[in-house]
Amino acid sequence: MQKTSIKQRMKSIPPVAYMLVVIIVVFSFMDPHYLSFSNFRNVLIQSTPLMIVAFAQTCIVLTQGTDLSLGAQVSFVTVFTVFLAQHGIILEVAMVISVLCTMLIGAINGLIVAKGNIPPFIATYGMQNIVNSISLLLTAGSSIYFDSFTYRIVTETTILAIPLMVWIAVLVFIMVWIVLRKTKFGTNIHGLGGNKEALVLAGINPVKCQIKTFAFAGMIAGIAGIITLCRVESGQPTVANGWEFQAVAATLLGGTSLREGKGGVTGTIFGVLLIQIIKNGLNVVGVQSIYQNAIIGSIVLAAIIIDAVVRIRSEK
Amino acid sequence: MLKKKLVSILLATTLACTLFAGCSTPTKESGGEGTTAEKTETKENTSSGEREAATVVDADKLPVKGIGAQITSDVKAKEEYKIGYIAKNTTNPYMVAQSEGVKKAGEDMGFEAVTQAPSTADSVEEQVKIMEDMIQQDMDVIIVHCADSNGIMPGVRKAQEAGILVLTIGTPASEDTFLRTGVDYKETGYTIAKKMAEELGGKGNIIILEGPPGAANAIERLEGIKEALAEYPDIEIVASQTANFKRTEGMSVTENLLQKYTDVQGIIGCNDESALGGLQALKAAGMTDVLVAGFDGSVDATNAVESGEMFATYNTDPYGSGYIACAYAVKYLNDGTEPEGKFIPFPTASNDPVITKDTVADYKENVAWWKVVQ
Repeated sequence: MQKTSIKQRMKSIPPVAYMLVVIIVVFSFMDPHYLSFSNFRNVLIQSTPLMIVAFAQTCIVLTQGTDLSLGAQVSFVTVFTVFLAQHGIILEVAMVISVLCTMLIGAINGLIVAKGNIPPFIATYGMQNIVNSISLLLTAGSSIYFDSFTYRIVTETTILAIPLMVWIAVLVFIMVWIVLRKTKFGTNIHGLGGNKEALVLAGINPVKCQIKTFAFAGMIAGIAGIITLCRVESGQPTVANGWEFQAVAATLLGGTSLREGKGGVTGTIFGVLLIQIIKNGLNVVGVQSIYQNAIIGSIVLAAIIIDAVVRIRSEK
Repeated sequence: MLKKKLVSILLATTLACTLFAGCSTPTKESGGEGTTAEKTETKENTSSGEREAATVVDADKLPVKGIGAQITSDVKAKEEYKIGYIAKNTTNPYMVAQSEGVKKAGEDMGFEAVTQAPSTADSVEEQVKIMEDMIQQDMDVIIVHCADSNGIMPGVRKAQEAGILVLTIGTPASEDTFLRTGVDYKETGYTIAKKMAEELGGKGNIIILEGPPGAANAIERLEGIKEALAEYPDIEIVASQTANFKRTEGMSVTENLLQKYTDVQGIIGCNDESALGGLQALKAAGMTDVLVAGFDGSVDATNAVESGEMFATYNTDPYGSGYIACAYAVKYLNDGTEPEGKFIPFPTASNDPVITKDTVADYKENVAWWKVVQ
């Protein structure tokens, strides 16, 4: 464990990382503005909310599920926090309450999935619609606003020239990494996806474990919601629509498998960066947004195919 | 044991990080104070009447001639400028026409025009991202049709800090930028409602189909409508309900209202789509003598005015709005000419934007903004 050879280390880097390098090289040839520190920081800032959602999604994908309510939860946090603040609760307290709410939403997801033995895809899809509706109800369909300087502390305070919000993502990463790798709970999450029978034999209640996992993902999505709130300085009921799918794509790109409970959050970072770097690059180079989705889709597909080919070869 | 050690090491690094953070924040706080001061300043502004009110400039004093597809300008870029435009989406013909207006201005005035839109329709979060990316491209000007007034502010501030002129069209940013143009929604409502009241001889019952609840443009337009109708004591607004700017909702809401109110002389939809929905409901009910009015001068509304089914619509001219925004920006970049105010609406009543059966032929033939998209 201590002495990993360079070759082994190279293997542990997901192929998406190489893809990333190729894309950065291509873009920097296409536009002189592309390869600069300020643009690098730009990409980090833009990646942060999706990054955190993808960490949450990775935990769920490890259990062989997908949580389609994560995007709705992010939007809900932006709305509910502002809503509470408008009704006289201190903004920071409102943030904490909102995150507790998404934990609860996650726990309900877990309960439905585990107790009802319902595919997470369907259960969380239902939850997505419910949470979306609540957000729209709270705002009457538009956005809501509460004036505070706190947002700008999060987005504009810099440490080592990197904004605080990016450091929060780093902290979330460390937290998730520790939970997945170094705690019993993390082992159980892997177990839920890899070998449920063994989990039961080891005397662990899979229902409880499932609920805990979804609640954990909900909490992380809640943090992403706070970051998003600070970034758009308002409660936006539909701001994170579709992020759950981008998070699934990023997770799979990062090498986490939907089948075996293998993988982890480190690869997810590369997955998110790949998506965001393509988006940013296309904007900087000046590609019309109508073409952007098609290009991103193609590159994501290509990356996954390359990944699969590499894996099949290495298994031989 | 090893695991515990690892955990403690990680925790220690985290702690060290936070300590480090504690050290470096104060240096930033001086910058933060500056921005706080800025904020209170703008607060004072807002207390004295939010954003600056509209400055209506007569048609002959604008930097452009004509409106819609006929718009032209004498303004020419003296250097190579880069102007970026951010729409709200790529699906609404209105938005497409607006970016076409910016592109046409680029050709006519001689600057590089870059037009973008969020891939998720109406996502202000993506609009902010596009703004950040445009800052990287060293734009001279960013023109944005905001998806949300407050949500766009982080992008607006960053652009302004980078020395980029920010202009808004339609929905403004929550704080004044270099310039806002596009229609004054209140004025559009006032103009159309007044036209209808006159046609009705100052007498009658009117139904209003409101826009989405909470949407600022819909609220302002509604205010304008009510203000105009209040001038006529014999006109009564019998019902005012939301149709969410949608044709299907305009139809169902009107159907329901016609059950209760059979004596109706006019329907004002807060956009063309809802007005056309109201028209469909009227036709189904066999009521052909009710005046219907809407806003935007869209294809279907133009045809309905031409066939005499619809009374009037307002040419909100997205194409010309994009064009005039560029004209003001280029003028300023050329020689520092400041616009006459922070909000110069375009088109206004002085550009003859109302389309009725008298003007529809000319509009359809020469002016219509949607011609540039087709």
